[in-house]
Amino acid sequence: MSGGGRRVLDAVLETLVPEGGAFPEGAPTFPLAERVEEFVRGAGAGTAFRLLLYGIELYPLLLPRLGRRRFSRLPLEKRERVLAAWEASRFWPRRQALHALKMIVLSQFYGQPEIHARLGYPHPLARVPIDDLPAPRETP
Amino acid sequence: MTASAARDPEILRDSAEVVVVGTGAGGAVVAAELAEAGLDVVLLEEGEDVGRRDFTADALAQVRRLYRQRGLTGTIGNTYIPIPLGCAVGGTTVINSGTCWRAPQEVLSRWEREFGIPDLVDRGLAVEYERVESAIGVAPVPESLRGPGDERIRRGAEALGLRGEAIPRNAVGCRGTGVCIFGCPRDAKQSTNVSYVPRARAAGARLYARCRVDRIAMDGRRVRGVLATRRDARGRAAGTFEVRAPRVVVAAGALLTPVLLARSGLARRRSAVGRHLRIHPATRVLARFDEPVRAWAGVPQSYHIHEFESEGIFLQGMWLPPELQAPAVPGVGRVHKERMAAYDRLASFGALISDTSSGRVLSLGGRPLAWYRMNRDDARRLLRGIAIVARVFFAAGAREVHPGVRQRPVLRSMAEAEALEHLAVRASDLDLMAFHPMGTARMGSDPARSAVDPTGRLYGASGVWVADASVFPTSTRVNPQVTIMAMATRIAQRLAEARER
Ligand SMILES: Cc1cc2nc3c(=O)[nH]c(=O)nc-3n(C[C@H](O)[C@H](O)[C@H](O)COP(=O)(O)OP(=O)(O)OC[C@H]3O[C@@H](n4cnc5c(N)ncnc54)[C@H](O)[C@@H]3O)c2cc1C
Ligand code: SF4
Repeated sequence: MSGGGRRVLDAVLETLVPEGGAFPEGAPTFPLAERVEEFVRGAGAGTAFRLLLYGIELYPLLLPRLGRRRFSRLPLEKRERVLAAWEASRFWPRRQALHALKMIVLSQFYGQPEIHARLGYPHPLARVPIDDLPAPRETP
Repeated sequence: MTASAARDPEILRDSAEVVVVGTGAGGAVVAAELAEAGLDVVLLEEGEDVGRRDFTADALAQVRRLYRQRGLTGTIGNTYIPIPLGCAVGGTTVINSGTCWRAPQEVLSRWEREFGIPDLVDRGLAVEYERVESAIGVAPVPESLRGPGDERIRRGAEALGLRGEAIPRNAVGCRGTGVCIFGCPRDAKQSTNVSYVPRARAAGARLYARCRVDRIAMDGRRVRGVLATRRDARGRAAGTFEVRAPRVVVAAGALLTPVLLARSGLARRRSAVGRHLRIHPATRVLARFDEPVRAWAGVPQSYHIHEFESEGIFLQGMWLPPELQAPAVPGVGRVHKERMAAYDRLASFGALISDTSSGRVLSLGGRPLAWYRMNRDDARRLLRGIAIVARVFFAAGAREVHPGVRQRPVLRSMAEAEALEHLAVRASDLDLMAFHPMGTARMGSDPARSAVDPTGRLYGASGVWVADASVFPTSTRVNPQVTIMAMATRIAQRLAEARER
């Protein structure tokens, strides 16, 4: 992703999962942007994802109460308000876009072992070991 | 053996009496039944040949490995509805929840009366169901394995006087690791990769994984075989593969089967191929309790409330790990983090409806473009299901419920849950998903209304059968896997009989 695109992505990631609050880690704590980019590329959704980011970046330019500034130039609190408004939007493509964004970003963030540990979620195979099973069937 | 065509460049051609495309609920059953009846069968699958050793229970890694387009498949229309599909040997059965319900007899009777499929009014699919259920070990989830979230629901349902019970599943020796939809690491769930595919192979069928069938080859109206693209382990094209056969059974799933038929020039103008898509729109409702629930500790889909089935509303267990639960938790930024920090106090439960809306699948550059408009009545019924689950959660002691409804993202009391049902909603106001695409090559005795005849044979071509969720003439009402398998059993028997004649 180009420098501009990357700046928008970083701003979006930080807005969705800022550091601090309920627990210290946030998007900036991890190399999340690379993982997100890899995920959307692998799903064949790279172009749609970039368009979505540009949509978010330019959207606040339409809003006088936000000073007609690009998303990535807004302070965190205002960025949170923009995305919260997308989530509550009556215009379903906007709401769905935010939902897709949450799905892609939050799955990468909350899929990390450090965050699992933070939430008290044990690895399923640590909770129920499979050691008592016979060796898996071999593919002949 | 798994003939991995990509690894053996010399294998460019094969021939068989029957080629089966797809190894999911439909394809694997047809392949096993035919191979055991003595036919020479080749089984082609686009995904990898995976097994227990690959199922690490790491949700994201498994989504990458086992889900088509990393889980981003779905429908567009008056809203976007994700429909995850499996892409592996075993198809979507590898990533399903293992729930096994027979379609109600009234559905099967309707298929005979309205669509001319014989023998369904009198005997339904009883013989085929029994055969399938004993092959995959269907039994109710024992209480000791019930997921803690489902246990909360059971208590809430009991408090409200609603009827519910344990779900029958195909999980032999299940220990409740709770990751059924990422591949069962114990081989307990009898998905077709551990049940019917090994049976087909033991009876002599040759399985080629990582082979995507691009086209069914025809000589005029008569089938000649299939042409496929072989892929290497990294998913790169590694050459072509041709299998000659006088019979081809398409079982690529309800979103992919119409695409393959269209690419092969087998979707006649105005034919039923690609039309009449049903999906069973669904959603999940989350609830936060004051005390830890640890909803992950058990079978995620273990209990259901069956009080509302006559309305086509099905309420059943659903639980996901943090990475897939997080997107359904309302809010962004710090508010969202606050709610996720209470993950061990969350429970969730699913609601789905048997739909009256329908959609269509088109082929766009070889990929399915699925169009589906969910009507107001379906949206209202699903909202009713959501409201009932919310009430049950409050009756079980929930502090807060997240129903996935735009106008009411957070409910804080029983009164709010009761009021929810009366909200005016459109489909796009609900956080939707779906897991049961069906109907896109529907079966029936009238070629003007149906894509395949009552034996599964495609109209307008000779030697092409369809045997997956596509053939259902209407919604099955319930989760479809055993009905797909039962129908595939019947289709295989008809095909074997036709060959003898
Ligand atoms: C998360 C989830 C949970 C579910 N839980 C349940 C449940 O508990 N109970 C239930 O009854 N149902 C459940 N289902 C649905 C059920 O698994 C499916 O309805 C069923 O597997 C569909 O069977 P099928 O044969 O039509 O297609 P599939 O099982 O999808 O099989 C189709 C196969 O064909 C392959 N294929 C496609 N195109 C090609 C091609 N061109 N060349 C070669 N191969 C190709 C695909 O890769 C796939 O392996 C669930 C689904 C999901 C996604
Ligand atoms: S809960 Fe049972 S069926 Fe599901 S993955 Fe665990 S052992 Fe397998």
